[in-house]
Amino acid sequence: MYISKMKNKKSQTEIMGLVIVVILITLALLFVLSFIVLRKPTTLKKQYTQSEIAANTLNALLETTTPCNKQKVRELLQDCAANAPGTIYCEGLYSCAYVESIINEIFNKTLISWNMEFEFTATLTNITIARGYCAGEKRSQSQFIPTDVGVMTTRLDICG
Amino acid sequence: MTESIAILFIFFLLVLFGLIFYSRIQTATLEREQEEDKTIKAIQIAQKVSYFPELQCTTQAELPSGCIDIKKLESFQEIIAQEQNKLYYFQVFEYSQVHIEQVYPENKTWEIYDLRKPEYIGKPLTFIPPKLFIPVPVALHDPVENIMTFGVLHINVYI
Repeated sequence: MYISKMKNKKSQTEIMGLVIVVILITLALLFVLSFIVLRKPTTLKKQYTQSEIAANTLNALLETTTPCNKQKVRELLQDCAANAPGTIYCEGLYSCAYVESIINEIFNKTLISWNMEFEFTATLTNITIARGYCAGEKRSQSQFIPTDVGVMTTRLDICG
Repeated sequence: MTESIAILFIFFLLVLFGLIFYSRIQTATLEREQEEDKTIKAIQIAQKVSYFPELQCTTQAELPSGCIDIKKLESFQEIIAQEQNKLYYFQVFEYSQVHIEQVYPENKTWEIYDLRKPEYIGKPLTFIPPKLFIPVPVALHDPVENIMTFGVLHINVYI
């Protein structure tokens, strides 16, 4: 009687062990599966568009001709850096304020409307335009503009 | 006997779990590969359009990147409006919609190309599966006025 009870108890313990092993294997499978299925989709397009946007936006922006005596954004930035708040006066604004309003307008119609986070800076001027907090991964493009007071670095970071 | 049946049952249960697991992984991998292929195709089209000689600016024998000549663009619009030319440019644009939008100083749009897959022709936009949208900022050069404006090349690839 005693031996039979002991045997029963032993097999129950074995089955319990088996159940635990099955549960552990199932949990491991679910864990791996969730990693594979729920993994973020490819970032290829994001990487491409961000680097392309950073490079092209800055190049096109600096070459853009403004209605202010056909001055380019680059030339207005040069004037702003050398003679802040600027010697060129257009539509009631000096070059620093005028060029900042133009850059803002272009960013509103492009990067902001595409819901992108970015930071634009132009050294030797106080111009910094940003949306969001650019702390982590980012794609950057810089351009160097000679001015009377040194070399100005314009930089556009696309965050994400 | 009961013990053997229980063990066999658990064994088959494990095999079943394994099969389900394997098929899920295969499906997920295939879907991801398909998605990546479509993205690569969209990027290829975007690259081809960005450096398209029919539209690129020419300044003193230079070909500045990210610059589109407005006069070339207007001529190209007339050329591609003809059906046989549209077929010729299919190898570049494939099934996509390409248009250029001037965003500064004033808004203006040039439609360049729009070719939907045959199964979607004539159907309302809601029936067409989502498109991959790639915006490429460009400088638009007007050689007559000698001014540059800010534009965006919109490439929507039908997937």
